[in-house]
Amino acid sequence: MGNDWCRYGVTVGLLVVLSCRPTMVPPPPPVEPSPPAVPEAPPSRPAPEKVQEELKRREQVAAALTDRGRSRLEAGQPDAAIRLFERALSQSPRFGPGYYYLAQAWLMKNKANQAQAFHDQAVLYLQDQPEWRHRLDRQQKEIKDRIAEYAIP
Amino acid sequence: MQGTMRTYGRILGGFTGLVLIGFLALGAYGWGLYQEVEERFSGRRWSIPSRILSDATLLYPGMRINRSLFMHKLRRLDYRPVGQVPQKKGEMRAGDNTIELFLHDLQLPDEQRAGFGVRLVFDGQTLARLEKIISRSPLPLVTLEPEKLGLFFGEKREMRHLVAIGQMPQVLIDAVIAAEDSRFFEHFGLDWRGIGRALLANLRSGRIRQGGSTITQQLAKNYFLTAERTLGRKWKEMILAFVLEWRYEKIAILEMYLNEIYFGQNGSISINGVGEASRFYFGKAAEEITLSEAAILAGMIKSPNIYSPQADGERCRQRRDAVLRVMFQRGRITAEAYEKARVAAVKPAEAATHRQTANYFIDYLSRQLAELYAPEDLTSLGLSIFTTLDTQVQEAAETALVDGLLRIEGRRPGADSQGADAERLQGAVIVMKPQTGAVLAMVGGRDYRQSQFNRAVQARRQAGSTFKVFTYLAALDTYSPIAVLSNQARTYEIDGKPWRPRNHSALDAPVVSLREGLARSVNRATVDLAMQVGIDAVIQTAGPFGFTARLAPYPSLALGAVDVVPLELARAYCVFPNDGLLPNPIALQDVIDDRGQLLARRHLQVRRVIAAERAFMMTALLKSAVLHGTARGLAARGIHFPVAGKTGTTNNSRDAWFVGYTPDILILVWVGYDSGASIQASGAEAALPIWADLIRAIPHQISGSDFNVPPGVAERTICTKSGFPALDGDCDEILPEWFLADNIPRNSVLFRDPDSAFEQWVKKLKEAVDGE
Repeated sequence: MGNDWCRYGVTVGLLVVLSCRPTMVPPPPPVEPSPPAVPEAPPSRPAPEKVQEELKRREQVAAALTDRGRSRLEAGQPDAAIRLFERALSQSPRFGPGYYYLAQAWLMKNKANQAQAFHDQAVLYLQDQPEWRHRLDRQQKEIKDRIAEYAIP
Repeated sequence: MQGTMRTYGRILGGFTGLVLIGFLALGAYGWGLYQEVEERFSGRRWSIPSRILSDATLLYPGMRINRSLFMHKLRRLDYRPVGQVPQKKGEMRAGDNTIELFLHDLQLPDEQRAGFGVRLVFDGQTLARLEKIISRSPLPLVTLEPEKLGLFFGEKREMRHLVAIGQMPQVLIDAVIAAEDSRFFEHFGLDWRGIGRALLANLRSGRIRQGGSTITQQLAKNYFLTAERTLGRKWKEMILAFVLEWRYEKIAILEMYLNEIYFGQNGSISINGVGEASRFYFGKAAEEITLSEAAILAGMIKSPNIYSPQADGERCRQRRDAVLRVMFQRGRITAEAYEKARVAAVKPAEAATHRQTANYFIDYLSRQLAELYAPEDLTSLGLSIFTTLDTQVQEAAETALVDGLLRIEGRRPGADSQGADAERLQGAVIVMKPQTGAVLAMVGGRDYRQSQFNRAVQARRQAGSTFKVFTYLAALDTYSPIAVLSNQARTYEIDGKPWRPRNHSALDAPVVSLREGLARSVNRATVDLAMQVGIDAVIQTAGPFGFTARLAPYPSLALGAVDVVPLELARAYCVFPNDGLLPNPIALQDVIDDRGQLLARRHLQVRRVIAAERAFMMTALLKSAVLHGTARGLAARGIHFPVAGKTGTTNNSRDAWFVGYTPDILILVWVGYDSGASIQASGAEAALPIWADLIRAIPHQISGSDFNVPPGVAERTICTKSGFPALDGDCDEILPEWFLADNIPRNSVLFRDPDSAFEQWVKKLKEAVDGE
């Protein structure tokens, strides 16, 4: 350690003539690299049956995600459920059950106005499926009750 | 003699006292610096920067994938090519029609799974099969982990990939030590030989050529000191180096140095640490770099903007060879390795691999995060910030914009070649999910390094014809798509001054249908319609769509004489494919801490703005713009799936817009100069091709389906000749047309009653035309 303190003294002397290494000047921005060419997909006119297949596949993915979301909903985790329903609707924007359960999740979070917006979407996309009518009616009643409950008299 | 001795004794005593005082002062000073090191260095060393992550990617059989973008994504996700079946996390083998991956572990707020081997089998662009590598059992759905977009590190946002010393290749460590401090493991913070050598070199040359700083000194300087070249700063640097050496082990100092050292600049973002530098300069992880590349990085530390492979290939090569020579002379590499590395080509990574993406998006996100967290929390709490960004869409958007702008400039030689100071054409792209409001991609300009002004959210540009939709929407309750509008030249009075709207392109017809007025963006017809419904009605209609600009009650508002923020315009258009619901734009999804606890969460939130049937009617009208109106150029660009959209061109072609959407996705493109100079091109010429290029590059986001038809609308046939509803047997050619169910024109009134108000109006109009 003593040697080290001696080194301090020597260093002080040296510092008079020694200066630091050249300072890095802020560099100019490098030349812009040319972006990569995105390979173009061949122009295509999708056949109706291909489109239907694609829609069906997306609906299956949405259904799988909605099932996962329902499990979260049943476990009392509306936030986790909402994220999964959102993912489902990203895959298939016209997947009615996704909107229905999204409305359920928002009801669980006591946000009746949000629930109403998604309920309306569920009605829009499930209107021709009679098996959903009863559930939709019940959901609408629940939303209305909840809105009335929190309405300012 | 005694007196002399006493005098000497006093001098000695005084000197000793001075030395003691000096040592005490030095000790106090050193103690103060030690405290500073403890407080700042330890804090920084052990604090964990927050990570910004993209959205996770879903893979499922049948989905269409742009394989080029997908492979870029896998590289960014640190999947390393191997020659055999992947057996460890992060390994990948790509064949002609297959990609085999050993997935990394997945850590999402609501989903965790361990990595496993998966095989993707392609049929062209379609992911035909998804299965486990070993059992070959099919997988219905696989979630690919999010990509790391950047870190909040230090005072500013920096791009940095931290690498543990154990993961760094030995050649890299050897190269850096050879280049910067060959006696690093022998000295105690200061290298006297190095200082002496630097001193001699400086004296010989008569100027300062060498510094002689050790790695520890450089680390001390980078952490605590400014770049000023003063004696005081040098002194402090040396004391700090001693303190660091006393406090930390050599290997820890080296690890911090290698993760801290400056390697140049990527626009406004500095590149720090070997992890980020190896990605930026060579497009690979630090663990994968070769001896030649390690020597290049080590050689660059001296002055990155002089010795980088991008700055000067020859200088870079000379510096690399010098580093390699030292390594060889010190026995760190064999003669064979030395020769092999010396002849290796010096080439930086291709732009695609080192280009940092989503900078504008991250800026946009950072402003939202600033409302939730203090800057020091973002740099120390190790948060994981999950966003909505789809990196494949982002890459495609950046590429499409830059290519499109170059194309426009190429068509007009001289437009952007008036020297380095000439203003460059700019643009912005926003990609959103209409149903969720998720921002999938955002490009706020053509080059973030040159301009950090985010035109997607910070610019206010005149909306032009893209705003016309609100005039037509305001008219939907009383006018149908077959309503007749005047295309006559008229003069209106604004603040006592005459205003005579002109059409963008010549259109001789005295009247046009409402559908045609929007599809062909007919200015006179649109103003005519606005005057009929009332400009206040247009303002009331546009009001709930979330624009922050004041909508002034002038007739020119109907033509888009209002400055809008591009993101606000994109959001407003989301209402049409989203059945009348206005979504809040979302960039931030979830924030979790380093223990996986959820701290914040943003959900999609929507508000009904118009009824679903009115939203559908607007989509039905805007599809005409794409099929045979101002956006009909899309078909020639290979877009054959259903799209609705609107072009926009403002006065003197200052702004070119195209906002287009499918049922799945909405894309806004703006092109213009920041100064407002004319781009001499319309929205269809400048913005639309960029839109087309982008949407074709992202097949995974497009289902190709048509828009949903809600209740409350009805389809009827109309006569193509008259444009009015066809009656039995009185029309040769018919076409389908959509109407609001409660606003279907009664055929008999239209055709059979010459005294009806409508027929009278058409009669008067025709007389007026004949009279002119």
